[in-house]
Amino acid sequence: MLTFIVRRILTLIPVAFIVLVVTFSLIHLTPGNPAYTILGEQASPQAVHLLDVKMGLTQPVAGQFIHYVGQVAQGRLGVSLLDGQSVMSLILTRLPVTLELAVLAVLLSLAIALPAGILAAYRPNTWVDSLSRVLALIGAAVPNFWLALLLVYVFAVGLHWLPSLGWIPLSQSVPGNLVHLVLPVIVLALPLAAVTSRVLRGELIEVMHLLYIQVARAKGISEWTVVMRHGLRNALVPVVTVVGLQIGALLGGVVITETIFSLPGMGQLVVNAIFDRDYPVLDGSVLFMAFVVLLANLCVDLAYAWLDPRIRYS
Amino acid sequence: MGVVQPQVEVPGIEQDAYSPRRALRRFWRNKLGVVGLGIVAGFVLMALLAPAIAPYPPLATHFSHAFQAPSSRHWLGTDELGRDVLSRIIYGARSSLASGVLIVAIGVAIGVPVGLVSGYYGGVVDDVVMRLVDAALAFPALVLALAIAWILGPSLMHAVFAIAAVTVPQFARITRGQVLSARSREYVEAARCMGASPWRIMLQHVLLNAATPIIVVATLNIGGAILAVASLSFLGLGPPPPSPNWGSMLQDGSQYLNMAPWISLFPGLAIFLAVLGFSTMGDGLRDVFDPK
Repeated sequence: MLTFIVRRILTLIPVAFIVLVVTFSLIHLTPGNPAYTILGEQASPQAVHLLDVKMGLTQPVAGQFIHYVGQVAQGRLGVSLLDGQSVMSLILTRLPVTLELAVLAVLLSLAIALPAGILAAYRPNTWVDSLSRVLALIGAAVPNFWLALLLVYVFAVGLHWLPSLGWIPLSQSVPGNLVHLVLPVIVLALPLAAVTSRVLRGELIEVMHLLYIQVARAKGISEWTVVMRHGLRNALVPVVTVVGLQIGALLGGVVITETIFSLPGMGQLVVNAIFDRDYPVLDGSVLFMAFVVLLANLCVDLAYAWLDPRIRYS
Repeated sequence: MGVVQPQVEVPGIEQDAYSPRRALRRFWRNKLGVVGLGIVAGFVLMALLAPAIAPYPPLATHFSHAFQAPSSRHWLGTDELGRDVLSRIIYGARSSLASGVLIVAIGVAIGVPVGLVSGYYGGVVDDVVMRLVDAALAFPALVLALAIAWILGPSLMHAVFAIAAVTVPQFARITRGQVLSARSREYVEAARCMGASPWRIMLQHVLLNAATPIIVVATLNIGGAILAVASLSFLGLGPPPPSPNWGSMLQDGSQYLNMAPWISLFPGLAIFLAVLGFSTMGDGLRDVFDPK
């Protein structure tokens, strides 16, 4: 297992390096002078020159890149052009909100996907399976921003059951915090549940045809016990992978959800950075999110190898 | 000199299992797939016939008709400038479908050759390409597309380019996977023994056999691409106003959700149905080619 972990971490190094090259290059994709993109076409030449110096854009590109890698290695992602605050501290301030939202969304998605996937696999090609499939297709196709507006319209504007936007920190009020998260969590969880339930259904049906399941049946164990105790355990392994690989999509969903529901998380930080033309915050956030996805993928691979020892030796 | 394709009879496997006629028959039996095809066909017709079927010009403003609820004159109501929502949705289908198809076309045009070369040659080429793909897939697609679209400036073409940039690695990875499983097959070995060049083997034998899953994924991805363009437009990085675009219509309407919910609800429904159409059609195609 140790060899596998070391090998997997080693493959991460070139990938992380390429990620750094991409985030470094983003600003250089701008047509013309990047400082004009940030300050606007009407900016004075003095202001443009000052920003060029501030962002180190007057240095040779190779020198800029080495400096950039050095700064990132020390956990420095630059400073905001708006108020000079460290980008890393801005991210860390907003991370708990996004983390809470994402964890609750994953938990809710599993609470929906596990029963739906198991029932569909338990009775394949019946109305239960068809219903689960249709619901999964709808869940995956519904635009999250539209779903958010629908939920706000029904539960906040119409029924007045839930707040339409805003945020109360967990430390201030647990019920208040959770009430504000109900709608955003549903919006984030549904597409994830749709994908997970279909993967679980497919895997479970495949597992249920294996020999050890037939042995369990031959012993006279009830079908439900065979599914839950023998089938589900093995079918859950790929589900771990799917949930892990959905982290990137989840972070994309967070951007929309936090914007609509005014949640002060990382997604809102990204959108605000775009509208404030605060390039260092945008770049730092993109880099941070990419590293989160890389780390999540690493964890998935390690969990997969731990759950299925054949992976380690292949 | 052409390469003779080896005709291998495999006992137990129907030789016409994947013939177009048989595939078409199986697709017609797949209810969800047919529903998806119907929805997609409906949207395509709507986009093509927009000038003939839209009741009003999409940009015509009538301030005296602003915020009118759905009625016999304006089936889906009017927006804050008195523009007919239905007409704007009909015209919006043009940019949405075109951008979805264009994004996937760019993804296929760049990603498939990259995956083909990477999977076929293996070794250092494969290592380098796969590390690039891994790195590209590490970025949350929407976030990277947002950053690229912001840097290039808000426009439909920039949004298309930004989303296509994050679609290319997905097709490269899928194609590579297909090539890896195909390159050790007997028919590839046979072609190699008969002296076919690597390019001929890749294009005529490997790619042809890997085409089916790529087509299925491409169909599924068109819906995702439409959704991504709508997401960027919703966040203000799509085509600038007043061009009719589903994502920006939804964003504009969200400000009037209390008093005129139809302005945002109907464009959202259009996005949902279009994505659902391509998803169910892609699902149907997958069932045809991979009945498991």
